[in-house]
Amino acid sequence: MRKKPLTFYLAATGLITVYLLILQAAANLNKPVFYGLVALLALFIVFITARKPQNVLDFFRSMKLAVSVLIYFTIAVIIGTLILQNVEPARYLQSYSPGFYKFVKLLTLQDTYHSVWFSGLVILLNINILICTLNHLPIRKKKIGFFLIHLSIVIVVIGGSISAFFGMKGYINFHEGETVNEFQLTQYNQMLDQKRQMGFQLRLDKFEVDHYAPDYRVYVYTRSDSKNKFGMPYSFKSTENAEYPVTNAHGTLKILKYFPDYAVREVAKATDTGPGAVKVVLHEENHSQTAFFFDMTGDDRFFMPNQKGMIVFKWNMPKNLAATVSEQKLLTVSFPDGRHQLISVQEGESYPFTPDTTLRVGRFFPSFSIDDKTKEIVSAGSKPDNPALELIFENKITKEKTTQWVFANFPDFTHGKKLPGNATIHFTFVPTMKDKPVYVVTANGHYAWTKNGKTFKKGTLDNNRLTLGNLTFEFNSFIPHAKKVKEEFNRSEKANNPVVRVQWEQNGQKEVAMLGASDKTATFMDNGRVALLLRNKDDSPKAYRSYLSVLKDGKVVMKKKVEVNDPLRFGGYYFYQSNYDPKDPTYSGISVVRDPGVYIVFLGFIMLTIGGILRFYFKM
Amino acid sequence: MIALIDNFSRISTMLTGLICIYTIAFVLYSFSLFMKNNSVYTLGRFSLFVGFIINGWLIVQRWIAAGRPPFKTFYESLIFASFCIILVYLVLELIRKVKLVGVGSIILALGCLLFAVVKVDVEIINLPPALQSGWFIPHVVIYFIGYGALAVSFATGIMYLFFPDAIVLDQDTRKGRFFTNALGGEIIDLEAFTHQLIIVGFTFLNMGLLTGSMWAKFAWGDYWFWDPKENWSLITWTIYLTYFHLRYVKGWRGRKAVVFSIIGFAAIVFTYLGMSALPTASMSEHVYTSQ
Repeated sequence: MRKKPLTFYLAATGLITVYLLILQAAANLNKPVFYGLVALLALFIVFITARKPQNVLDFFRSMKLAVSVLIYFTIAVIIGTLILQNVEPARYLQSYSPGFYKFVKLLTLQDTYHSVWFSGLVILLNINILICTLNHLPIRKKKIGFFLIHLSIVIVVIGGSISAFFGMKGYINFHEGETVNEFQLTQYNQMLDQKRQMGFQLRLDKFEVDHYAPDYRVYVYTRSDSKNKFGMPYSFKSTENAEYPVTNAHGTLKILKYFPDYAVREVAKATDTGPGAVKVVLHEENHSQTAFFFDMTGDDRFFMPNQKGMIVFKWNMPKNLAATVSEQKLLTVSFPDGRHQLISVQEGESYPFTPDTTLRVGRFFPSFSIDDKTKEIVSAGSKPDNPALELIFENKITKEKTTQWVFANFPDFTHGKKLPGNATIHFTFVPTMKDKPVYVVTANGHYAWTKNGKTFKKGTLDNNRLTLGNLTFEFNSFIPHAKKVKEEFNRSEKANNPVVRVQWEQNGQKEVAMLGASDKTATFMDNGRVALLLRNKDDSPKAYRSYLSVLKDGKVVMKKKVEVNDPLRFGGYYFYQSNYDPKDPTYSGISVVRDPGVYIVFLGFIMLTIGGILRFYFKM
Repeated sequence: MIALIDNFSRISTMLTGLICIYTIAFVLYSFSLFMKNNSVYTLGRFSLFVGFIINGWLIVQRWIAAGRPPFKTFYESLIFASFCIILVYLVLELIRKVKLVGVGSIILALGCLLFAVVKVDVEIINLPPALQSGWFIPHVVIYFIGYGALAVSFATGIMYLFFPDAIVLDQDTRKGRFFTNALGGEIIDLEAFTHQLIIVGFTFLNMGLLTGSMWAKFAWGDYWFWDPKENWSLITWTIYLTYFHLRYVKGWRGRKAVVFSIIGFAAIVFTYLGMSALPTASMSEHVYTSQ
């Protein structure tokens, strides 16, 4: 055969590729046609080899063929990176027109690297390499590099094929304590509806996720105009009193205060007027809590844990103890003209309301609730967790009645009804305890206790403490006149609710803002040109690991801590730490691989590396 | 461009200094091409070496600050890329004083650093578990040295395209004298030079492939994923492979072959920087974090 130019080989390889694509389409559309075309190709090869064996041999051992196939192979690999591979049909239809998707499926372009035509190109390349290599026999010292390089490709392809035909991949969804003897088969990360028995059992003894230490930072985004996009943010550690210049915005960010676990509580603050108050620390067995009592109705008492009794704080010991601690239902009535009225009411009694109407107090429920079945109003219990009072207004002339429920916990709940005289009513329920002791404590350190209206004992606090069983109330910081104010504090040192108070200074103007890690939107400064966010730098895990046991006939034969980059190997399978669930700390996702060709592939890669070095640097 | 100017205020003084020193080295090397006197060249070499040390120190500094190898973000890897390019050139300079190649290498290194400024990422990002592996450092370092060698081969390749005849020029013409000086006092074959660099780069690509496949096997259970980045490194590899074979085809040495080395480097740049432009990028494990 005359020496053919490179263009001949390019054209020939092109023709072969087209034939391979036709084969692919046939394989997808009609199997018999596919087999027919394969047979035709085989016949053609046999025919032409029989007629002109030298030409065929020349063709397949040509360096130009290698170049041509490499070019087509490269183009094929590029195509596979341009078309989405092995994703759900919906995702294809999102990105491609239905016609193009049909074309993609016709030529298996959605799985380029496992397609018939791609495999055909690889086989062609390998035939070329093999014949070319055999042509250089015998192996001489000088040619070791050459042989290693070329055979390495064949070996990699053989190893890869063994893996493809005899290997398998699967997945185990595990929870701590669970034992499995099979896994779900997967293909291209999609679960198949097939399971595979392993011949042994695998138990997840323990699962752990390590996180990086929380590092909440203030992210500052800047842009030159509020219409532009924000650039990459600055990130600043939430270190109190730290000042950070933001050069892009010509501003300065100062961290005023950082709360890892932000919360607000009500405390007593001394004033000139107002009721007396006291700070009370309740010590239980292993923890304590702080509260403030005020000598005013509603804020002077609280129930002990487990309904054991009640504590009431009064600045001076009242004369009538029973009346002081009694249950009260208070209505604060306000009229649009500004008139206020505080009335203490009782069930069943009537009170004048406006010149035209009277107010009758109906039923009282300590725990208002509506029965699911009967739809009737009932009390869910005797504990006053949702106190509600029925008010009935009666017009003196028309005798028309309107009913309104008022709720102590929901002062604004009116059901859209208008009350006579356009009044608004707030209901305050002051509970008491029946059949349980009620302790009244005063600022001068005295106390008395009553039960069902009878006073039993008077005494003085021991070192400002009142001990009742395993509960100790410590009364300190008596304030003669106080008001309720809100105070920010850290509930704990753990980053449960990080909040930071920052000051943004720009052009001599200072602005203070509170940023919370749970804020859904940023806080804007400088007419929208600066945006501030508080976020954890990295929520992703540092490491996650499964403690696995392999069991055979009920006996543990192997134990291993499996981490990413450190799989378990047993019975021809590899088990990889593959997944975790931030919401389910006991869950572990383990992927299973059986890959009998892997060492052949590695051998190929090693041969390639060494062969390359020998070929290029030791031309002996 | 706006990002580049904007971000200059955000980078460390050390990086600004490094860019300045490399720029000075670039100017000195450029001048030395036209000067028979060696003093400018010596000064250029000195500043390039100082820059190289600072470049290395930037990597070490980041390594200490992050507590992990600084190859995670674009910013970090670009600084490492510039280090590798200069490393390859400095080794080359030990063998032959090819000032012209030095100019090209410094331009490439400066390009990396300026791009690092655009991609500035002062934030230190933690390593995900898969990257916490003994394979991480060898895999990245081997590939980047390979890329460095191929980047320099790109520079010499371009020069060869512009001055393919330099090799036959004699000392008597002006052009001949210029090249003699620019290429270190001796006439050299730029094509052969390019070829040698490609061989070095290709050998490193093979080793990178080997380490990468082994790492992938231990981390994910498969030595090859047909991941877009893997595919593009395969494409790069086959382009150079095609180049090696084409050289044996009659009429394919010289300019035509060198063009392939340039296409190969373009593929490297795309593999390195262009992944996020691919429609399949979301499927990749290799896409650099840019924030």
